[in-house]
Amino acid sequence: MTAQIREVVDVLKVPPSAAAILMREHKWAKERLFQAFFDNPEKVQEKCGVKARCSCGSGGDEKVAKTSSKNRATRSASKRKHCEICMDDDGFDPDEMISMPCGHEFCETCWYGFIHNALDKGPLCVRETCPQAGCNELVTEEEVARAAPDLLPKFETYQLRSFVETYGMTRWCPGPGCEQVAVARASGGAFADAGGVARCEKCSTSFCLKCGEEPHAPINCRELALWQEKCRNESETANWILANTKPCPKCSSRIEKNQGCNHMTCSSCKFEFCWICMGDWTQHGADTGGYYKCNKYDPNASNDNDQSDAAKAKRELDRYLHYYKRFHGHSQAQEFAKKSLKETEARMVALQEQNVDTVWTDVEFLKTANEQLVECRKVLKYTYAFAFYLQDADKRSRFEFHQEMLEKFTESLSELSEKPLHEMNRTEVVNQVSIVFIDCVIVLGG
Amino acid sequence: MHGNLGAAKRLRKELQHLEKNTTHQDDIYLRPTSSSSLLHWTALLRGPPDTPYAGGVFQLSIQCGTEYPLAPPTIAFQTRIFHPNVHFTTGDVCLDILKKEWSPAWGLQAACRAVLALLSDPDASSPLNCDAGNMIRGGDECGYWGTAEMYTVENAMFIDWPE
Repeated sequence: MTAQIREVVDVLKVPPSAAAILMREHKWAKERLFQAFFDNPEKVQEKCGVKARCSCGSGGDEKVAKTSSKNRATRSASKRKHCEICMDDDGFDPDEMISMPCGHEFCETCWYGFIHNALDKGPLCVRETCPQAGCNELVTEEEVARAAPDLLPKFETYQLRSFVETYGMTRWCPGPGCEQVAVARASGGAFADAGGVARCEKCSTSFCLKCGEEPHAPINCRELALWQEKCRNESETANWILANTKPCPKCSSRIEKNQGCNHMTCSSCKFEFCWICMGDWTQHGADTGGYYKCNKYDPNASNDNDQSDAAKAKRELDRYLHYYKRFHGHSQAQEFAKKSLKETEARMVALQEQNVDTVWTDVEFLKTANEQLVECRKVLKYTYAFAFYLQDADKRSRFEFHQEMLEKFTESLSELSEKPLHEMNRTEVVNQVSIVFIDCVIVLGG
Repeated sequence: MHGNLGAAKRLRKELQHLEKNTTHQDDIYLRPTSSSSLLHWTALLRGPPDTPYAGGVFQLSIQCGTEYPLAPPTIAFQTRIFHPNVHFTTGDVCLDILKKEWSPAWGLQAACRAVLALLSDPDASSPLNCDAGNMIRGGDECGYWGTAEMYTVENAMFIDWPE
């Protein structure tokens, strides 16, 4: 921020306090400000409320400003000054008065009250104008520093906040209670769709620089917003359909899923099935030669010869539910995986204690696996929102192929890392982690 | 220093100034409602000539907060009036200088003068009284004028101007 202001001071020859305002009013877009300023400096200064401030500084207007202030000085030297806010009869010594660049003066006490009151109004205080009626000269840190030095930090906090919020290249860290600011470095690259992921150094929250949401590749910010809006609108229906429990496809006992993996075993009839499609698990595993068929929506599965509006609407809802169910499933699995990060630490300690020779780095693979799992679930979650908006059939089938691979390996990683400790095979887990990592990269690249 | 003390001190100054400079010809009469508090004032306005409010005397209630003059006073019509920027039942006034354009260098008299200017020059684009606003926007000057005049005669002809 300081660097930007310095550049404007150098180029436009205006005081720093005015430069900050000019930049803010132009949303910190230097080029736009320069262009507007060189077209018509008077108009820009007037509009932004820094006209008097700029003319008392350096430049050709200096003489005018000096003579007028001399006039004021001689006029007020003869008598004590009058403050239009408190209208005190006795008046004030000139050094008890604080004046704005526009020449309007008020007593110190009123100035303090005025600034105190302005700060109480909140973030808008950075746009406070001269107390004189009809004067649009803006109050800056210079006046605050003179009239209420103790309130200056608060004022500067608001200035910074306004900078971060209006400047397109910065964003507050969305982590709860975190006050870090993220700055995008390059103007083009970082703002590419689904790019620009930032990670806070302080609280290690990751977020998208553009929209402030959790990183959501492969879907872009606009479609993510559409998807979230749609999910909110449809949530009543979706909630009704997606209760927290599902009946076992074989014996119909209600089952609550409380661990991350989609490979379910009914506790009463021992039937193994996939939580997403409720189909027999034997058709899913790579070892049976079958594919993991859960990520594809087949519009032909329902009768699409029926062209009536009701049927169309139903098909559209089915299509949405197909993606939403999977989005929701991975979203919950992501939450489970996040929660189990803590348990993982305990498991790491237990695993280390099993064998006297094991050192901490030998068990760290568990944590890596868990973190990778969270990442995979997150990516998978957004692939379904992405696929919902993917129109091109060719692209979709290619995308779904990679999605399928990622899903398959994620499931097996989930399964491997949830195994009881004595069955834990480090090499297997480590291999699986590198496989899903590569898959993630492929899905995001395609 | 600011707060209740500042408000009372400033309002006392305004009152002194008013008592020195009031004449019977003024179109604004402004005094504290009771001697017990300087924060609550009553104002009388003469309806401006060449408006449907001419001949009427309108009573305003003015409430100053302890933050006055840093925060604007709250002004409401006590006399019923048909005007696009005045709420027909509550009497609330919609005027930018009483909201975000307020300046501590304004006084109560200036605020009243602004209300008076609003009577001569209604702003139909941001109405509190939609019926009045729609008449003006729809070009029905005659309907607006007639209705406003009727309410002036009905409600604003009963207060005598104080000596």
